[in-house]
Amino acid sequence: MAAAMIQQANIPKIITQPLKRVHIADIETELGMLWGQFDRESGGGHTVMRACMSNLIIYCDTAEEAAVVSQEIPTIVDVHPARVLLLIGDGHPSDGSLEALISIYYAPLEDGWQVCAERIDVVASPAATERLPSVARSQLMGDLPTTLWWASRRPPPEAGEVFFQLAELANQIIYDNMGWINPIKGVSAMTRWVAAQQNEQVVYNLAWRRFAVWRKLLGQMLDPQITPNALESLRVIEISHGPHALPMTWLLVGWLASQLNWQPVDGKRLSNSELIWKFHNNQHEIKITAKRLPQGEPLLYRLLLDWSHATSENRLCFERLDNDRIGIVEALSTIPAHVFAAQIPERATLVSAQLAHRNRDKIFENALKSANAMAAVFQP
Amino acid sequence: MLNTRTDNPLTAGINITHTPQPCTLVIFGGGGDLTRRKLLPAVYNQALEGELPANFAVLGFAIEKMDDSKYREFARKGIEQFSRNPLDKAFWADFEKRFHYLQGSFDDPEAYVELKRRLEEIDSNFGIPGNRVFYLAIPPALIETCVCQLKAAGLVRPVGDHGAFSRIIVEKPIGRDLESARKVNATLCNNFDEQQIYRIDHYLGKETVQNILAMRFANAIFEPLWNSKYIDHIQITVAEEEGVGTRAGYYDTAGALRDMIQNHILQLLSLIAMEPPWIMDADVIRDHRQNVLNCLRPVTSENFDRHVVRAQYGPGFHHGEDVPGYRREAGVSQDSVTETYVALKLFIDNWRWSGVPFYIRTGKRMPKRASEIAIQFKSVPPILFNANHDHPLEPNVLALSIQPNEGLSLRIATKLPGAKLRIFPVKMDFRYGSTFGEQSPEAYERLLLDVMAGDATLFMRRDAVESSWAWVDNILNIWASSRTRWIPEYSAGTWGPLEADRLIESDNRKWRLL
Repeated sequence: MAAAMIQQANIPKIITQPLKRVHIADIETELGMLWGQFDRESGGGHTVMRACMSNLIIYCDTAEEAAVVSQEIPTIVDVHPARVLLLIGDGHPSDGSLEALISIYYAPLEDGWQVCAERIDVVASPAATERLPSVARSQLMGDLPTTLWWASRRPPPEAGEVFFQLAELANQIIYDNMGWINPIKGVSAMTRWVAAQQNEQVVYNLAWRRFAVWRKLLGQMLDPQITPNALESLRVIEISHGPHALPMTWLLVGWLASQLNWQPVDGKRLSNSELIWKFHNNQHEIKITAKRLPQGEPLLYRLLLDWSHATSENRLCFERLDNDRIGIVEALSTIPAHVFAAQIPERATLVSAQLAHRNRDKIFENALKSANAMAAVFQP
Repeated sequence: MLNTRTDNPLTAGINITHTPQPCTLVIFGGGGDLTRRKLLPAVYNQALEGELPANFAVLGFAIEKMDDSKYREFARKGIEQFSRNPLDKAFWADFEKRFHYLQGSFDDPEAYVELKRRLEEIDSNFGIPGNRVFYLAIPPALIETCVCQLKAAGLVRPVGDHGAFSRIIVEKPIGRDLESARKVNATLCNNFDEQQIYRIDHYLGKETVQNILAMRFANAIFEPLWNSKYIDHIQITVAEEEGVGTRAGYYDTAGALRDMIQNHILQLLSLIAMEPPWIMDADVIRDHRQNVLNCLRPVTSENFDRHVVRAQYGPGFHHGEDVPGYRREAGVSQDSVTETYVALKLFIDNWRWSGVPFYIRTGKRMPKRASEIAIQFKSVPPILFNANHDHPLEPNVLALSIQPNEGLSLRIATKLPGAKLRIFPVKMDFRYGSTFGEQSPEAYERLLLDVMAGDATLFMRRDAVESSWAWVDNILNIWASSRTRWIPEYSAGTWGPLEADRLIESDNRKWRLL
């Protein structure tokens, strides 16, 4: 029985086999053999089905990054069945400069099995990193969209040729600027690269999805019917964020600026943990400060919006209460206290959700442009 | 009406197709079974998944004696028992504050004065701009009273004044025949605009049912075959394994034709058979569905016996256990001739479907719970692989499974490996649950959000309700004119009576084995 050889992945619904080392030229044949072997060892007679929605190329710099990604694959393919190519650019192949390993993921059905992913790992030594795109090119399945998930902590353009070549294979590029070492430089490099793309490729930052709940709450609570004139009268915004969340904060401010037609006029670092931007909306100045908390998760923790004027005081303050909830702080708000569900999605959940979205997000791209304009006026 | 898509730049790009708007959901019959089992868990799940608008509240309105605190307990218990997501205690501790209750009699004008006051209080506490969704989870006999009282109390805002909205959700059955349906609709339309009325049929909220449109019109390979030239026949089955249970009081006066065919099944049929709409607009889609109902060939006394079979379950076995026949069920008259099973052969007299029979069956106490739409294509010519007349190839079947497992399957013929030319049917199966992993939202969840977003695509319009009753009335009238007290019987736990088998077998076809 296959049960003897299978091991339970993180999510019990999805079962996988240990990775098998194969020659790169034999990957397709060996995958076919895995299917057949699995069918025989699971008792035979059942139709083993494959559902596949995408090619997913994942690029990691190191084996450590790949180990984390490896744990996330079952969650992703559970929702979005795919052929997964996990490329490790700065790895240590056990033999030679490139090494390939394969496995399959499957889910039990009532009357059979369904293969929901084939996984191909390719480990390259540092000297062979630039050969990875050629391996990826030969392993993609036809008729399916391809996504490149850039899981490295380096901003993609900094990786140079390996990123540019992998990007050419993809219809969609997913990256995550959380944890970038120099976020200001990274935002700028990425935005320039996106702006230079002429095709219909979808480029997507997970940070955008990560703060979707904030966008939704702001949109609803500042709606003209709920809080008349708030949007056009905003003057002060104070943001508190956890470590490594500055790029996300930057993008949030970029989104507000692009949607509300604010032009950045100035930006500077007040201290190691505090930045300030100034915008203008053709009527008045808007001041935004972003303060990094000494500890915590890479999240937005607090958002104070002030649209007071001479005759009335109008403030709204959101605060993350815990990992699942955001509340309106009553004492600081003109709106009654509420608590909203705001679970922090796992990275794998964000990726799997994004895989199904294949249209360019103009709102995100505009936010990115604004974020770049903010970088341009910033005095480091 | 607040249009968050255009008035508010910060909501641009957020779930463009669906923007549930701030509102209070007022549940008439807020202490009832439907509320406890379906509505409150649906609200909870949507809140937990961040789908509800930030400014949202629930007000239960019913005769049962409860206060806000007791109602929150009632809601919590219902959610614990029936929600697809387990109760998150930390989240619930805050979310429950949005649940309110008003005790009152539906025919008491004073209760509506108090209702209005409570709603204004909730608006103020939760930043809701006066939008209300009234959900009538009440027996049909009370609809008129509630609707008229709402209007009299000034709780129904007119459409199009760019202020807050009032919408009303009405549960089936809308009437028990054409005349009574017209009366209910007239009452609704005298007090609400048709745009404000959402006649709910939870079948239309199921993922597979919505996928019918996607499958037909998002794929190039099906639609060219979707006509009488390539389709041999279509079978629609809605099988329930339960008996009449606690619904005898209602069911014995209704029967399977009214309970299932008039609403769920004719709506499924209209989705399967409709022409391509030119835009995904609620009224355009409903117009196209309506056109199908307009083309249903009426059942007449001349063709009745070849097109309609009714039956009642007798004693039998359900999962190996003895179960009583229908007439022995609690609350059922011992000489009841109410049908618990109906099989129909019907035709849609239009260009696309000319001559294609639609076989429909629904019943209680079937071997298992299964709802399916199966499109059986015509056989390949009797040459080449299909030349053996003793063993004709099995035709292709596209089956859309609605419950319990939502998905679709396609039966195709393939060559068995080996030197011999042997053809074997293989079923290619796609299931939502196993392919996408995520739990599909319950139908009520989707439909409630649709109402909050003002999208009536999956709701029945007045003309659809009345057309389907008009068609069903033909059958009811013929049954009523029959003086016989005899009704065919099938054993509980079987797939129906012999008469139903004969109905389809006389056309050289068979019911599918589910």
